[in-house]
Amino acid sequence: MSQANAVRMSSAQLAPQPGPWQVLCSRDDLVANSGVVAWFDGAQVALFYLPETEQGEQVFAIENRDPKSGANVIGRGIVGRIKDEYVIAAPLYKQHFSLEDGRCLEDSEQYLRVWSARLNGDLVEIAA
Amino acid sequence: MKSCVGSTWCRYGVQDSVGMSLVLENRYKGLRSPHKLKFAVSGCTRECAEAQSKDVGVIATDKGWNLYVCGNGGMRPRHAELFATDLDDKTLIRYIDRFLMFYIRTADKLQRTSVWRESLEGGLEYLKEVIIDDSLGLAEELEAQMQHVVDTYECEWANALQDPEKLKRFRTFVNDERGDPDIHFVKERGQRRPARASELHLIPVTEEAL
Repeated sequence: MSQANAVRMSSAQLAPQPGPWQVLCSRDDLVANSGVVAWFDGAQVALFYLPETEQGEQVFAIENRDPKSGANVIGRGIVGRIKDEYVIAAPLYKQHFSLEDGRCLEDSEQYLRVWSARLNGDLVEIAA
Repeated sequence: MKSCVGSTWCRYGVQDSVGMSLVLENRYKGLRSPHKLKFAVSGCTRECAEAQSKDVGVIATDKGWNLYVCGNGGMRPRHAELFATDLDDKTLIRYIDRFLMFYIRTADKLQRTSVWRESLEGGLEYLKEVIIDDSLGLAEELEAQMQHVVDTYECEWANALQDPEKLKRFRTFVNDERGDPDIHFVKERGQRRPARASELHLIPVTEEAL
């Protein structure tokens, strides 16, 4: 694992309380076990809604741009699970990114930005 | 599906190849199979539709239809083999039903009919026994399965257009009307096409900062 990823992970641990929460879209906009893309203040955020995980329903927010192809397609990828970790497979070259921390499982040079996201009633909220 | 113009428009045609190709196209459209399937119907022995290079090739005779199977073009060409001769319309469709369903049930993933046929123990004779003589007692089942596929066909595009849940997946952003600002177009031959990475500097800055 690269130095960049190690730093990213430790900074995430230092900030367990994300916020402030901002409303991004509604629950109706999500597609179960799949991705949609939302516009968030100039950034493209892919939202993956998993209704049945061990932790109950979960929403993951991850950068929509695939660094390998340069195309904004991560939100169209297929969700999977590798070694107890939820991942998204990029549609063009099929490399996997962790939905938790955005690191690429095959290539330590690649990573995606992740945001904290949650469902609050009928709203999807995101924290920068 | 490829067809020649057939007896309707050609002085050589002995059967209506366009009509038969429409029947076959409508019967097998949407069929899920291990790999793509190509069909052709020629209206006479001159073979303008090149049916002998297709997975299922039909060539008209003055008595009916000759059926050819397991042909392939492309990188590894293979002539289709003559499977049955002088079939009437009904028998032709029954044999194709059985043949396609037998292929779908037994071929490997992504295995074309030509490769499947070459790996088939007993070869063409075995295939004829199964499909024509019903040596495995499967014919009725294969036909019933194909009929089920035909009866339950629906256009997935039309279905998606009528279903608001499915249409959701065709929005660029769920919370914004704009398109993807990173997609740029250039003109070529009077038509627009997506810009290549090397062409991106040609796009005016005002357009880029959408």
